[in-house]
Amino acid sequence: MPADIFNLDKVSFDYGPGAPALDGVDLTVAGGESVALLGANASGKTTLLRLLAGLASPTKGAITAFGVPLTAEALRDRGFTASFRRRVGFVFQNAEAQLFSPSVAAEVAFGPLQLGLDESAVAERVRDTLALLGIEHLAERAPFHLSGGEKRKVAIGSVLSLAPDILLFDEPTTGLDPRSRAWLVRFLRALREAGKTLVTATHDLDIVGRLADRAVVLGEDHRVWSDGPVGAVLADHPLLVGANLAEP
Amino acid sequence: MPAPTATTRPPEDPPPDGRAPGTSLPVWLSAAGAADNEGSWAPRRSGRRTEAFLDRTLAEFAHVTRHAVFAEEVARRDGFLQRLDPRVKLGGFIALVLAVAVARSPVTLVLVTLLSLAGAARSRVPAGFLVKRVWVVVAVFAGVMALPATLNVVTPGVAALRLPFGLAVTWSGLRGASLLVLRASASATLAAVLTLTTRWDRLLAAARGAGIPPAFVVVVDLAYRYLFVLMGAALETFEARKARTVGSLRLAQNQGFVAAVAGATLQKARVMSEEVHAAMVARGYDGSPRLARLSPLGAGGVLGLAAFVAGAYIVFILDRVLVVLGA
Ligand SMILES: Nc1ncnc2c1ncn2[C@@H]1O[C@H](COP(=O)(O)OP(=O)(O)OP(=O)(O)O)[C@@H](O)[C@H]1O
Ligand SMILES: [Mg+2]
Repeated sequence: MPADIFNLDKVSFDYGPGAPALDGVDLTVAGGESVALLGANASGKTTLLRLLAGLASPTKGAITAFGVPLTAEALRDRGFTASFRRRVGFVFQNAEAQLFSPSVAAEVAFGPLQLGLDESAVAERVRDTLALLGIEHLAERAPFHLSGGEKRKVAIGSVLSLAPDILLFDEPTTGLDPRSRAWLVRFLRALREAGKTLVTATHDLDIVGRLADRAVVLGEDHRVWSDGPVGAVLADHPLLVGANLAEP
Repeated sequence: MPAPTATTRPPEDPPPDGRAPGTSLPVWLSAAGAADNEGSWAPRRSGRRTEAFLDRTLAEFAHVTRHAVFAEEVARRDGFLQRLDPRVKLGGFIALVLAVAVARSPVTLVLVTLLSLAGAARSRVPAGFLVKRVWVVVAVFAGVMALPATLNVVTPGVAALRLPFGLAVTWSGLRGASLLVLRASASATLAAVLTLTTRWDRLLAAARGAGIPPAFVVVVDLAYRYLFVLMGAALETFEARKARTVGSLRLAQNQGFVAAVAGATLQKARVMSEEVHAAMVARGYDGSPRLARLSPLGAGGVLGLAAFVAGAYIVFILDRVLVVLGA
């Protein structure tokens, strides 16, 4: 399998004239690695993940995914998007936004049903996913009435049930209590050990060392400030202070 | 405080081997490689298009956002009109719109439009952006009101152009319609210049200053803000759905999805409004909004307001003179 999953070449993105969110970002994500995307608020982490997920296209620059250009034009092709989206899962920062089904079980079943799996296979996936996340007891509840942490688990489950190879997580630990947070970190490691590729946006430096091999730092100027082994990046205190990730 | 005893260890704690029960992945999840791959690494094209409906909706949302982001940026620029007190601008706007409403000479209307455009230029409002805003209003207006007014059934007179079924475009109809369109463009330009050079919060503050009831202002403000919040919520839901769209849905499923999103968005709106209300109550809201007082207008402000009203009056007089002269 070729090494690169994503390749970004001088990618810029803005939400309108004078509202830049990314500026000249070069980035490569290789298969099977776990990359942490670090950056202060508004540095562009979510925007970068949305580009990787093919939900938006760069204003400037180019992205290749799996060795082929990830263009707006390619994403309008049904076959391309179907297999792209099956392989790339995106867990949003705002968990509640991505929940739209009447029950937790239906939410988790949404993806597998679209894959065309038969009923018993879908049921198995839903059962396994809920068990994995420890939320079997919520199966029949309406996602919208759950607690914040529960919503996040359902959101993760709704993406996992598609069995994606690449998982994009946006601030996955926000709003989780310590035990859930520790569990999530172990869980992400387990995914990585199973050969999944992970890109996790966060400014929670405590978890980064445990879940990532590599860290990419986005500065408040929306550019990549540093990209290297997680240990080296975390040891560079002046860099972290400069990027508003640590207190001086 | 007594230290917790060793027996209170929660059952969910990871076992000594470091692997929690909840992290051993099921086979379907840990098996690498997507089944649809058929040996090829890159996702393959099918030549069939994705659901245009979803893409269009998302593009629409993105467009509205871009527009709003840009408008806000323009209102924050350092320009002539941006520096004026919003109350002066609102007062001037009302005076000029009144003058436009009673104007009967096309020359006056063109003049007011040109003057507003000049004001916009002095305020660093991009001409293209302004024209686009105005054009939409004028086009709709012209289509709905002005076009029918050109016909002999609405405005009788000498025919300029004969149409089938005994219809005709009359000269007096054309004159009336062009006046209507010119009046619409003058008012729309004034409104666009006001809103593009005044931040939303300051415009509302000015409205309060103009004696509009606070409750009304608060409702308008919340509606405007939550329009964006709700739009954002709906947008994210659409994107989440898009991110999980791996096969094609049948029409019924699609309709079901739209209904589900509408339902979810309404639910969110309700919960959000409850949360907003709770947040307002927590900060002392008791059902009757008490808004911050505006600072007094000051001599400069009063002078500016007087200048605008005088300007509007001059426009009015000029219009009468032009009409008498037959222009
Ligand atoms: N929908 C939007 N419309 C306009 N501007 C936006 C929008 N979303 C993000 N931005 C802007 O883009 C920039 C980057 O935002 P982004 O959400 O990518 O940041 P982030 O790194 O994820 O921040 P956080 O840690 O707060 O989640 C910010 O300046 C933000 O204001
Ligand atoms: Mg973010």
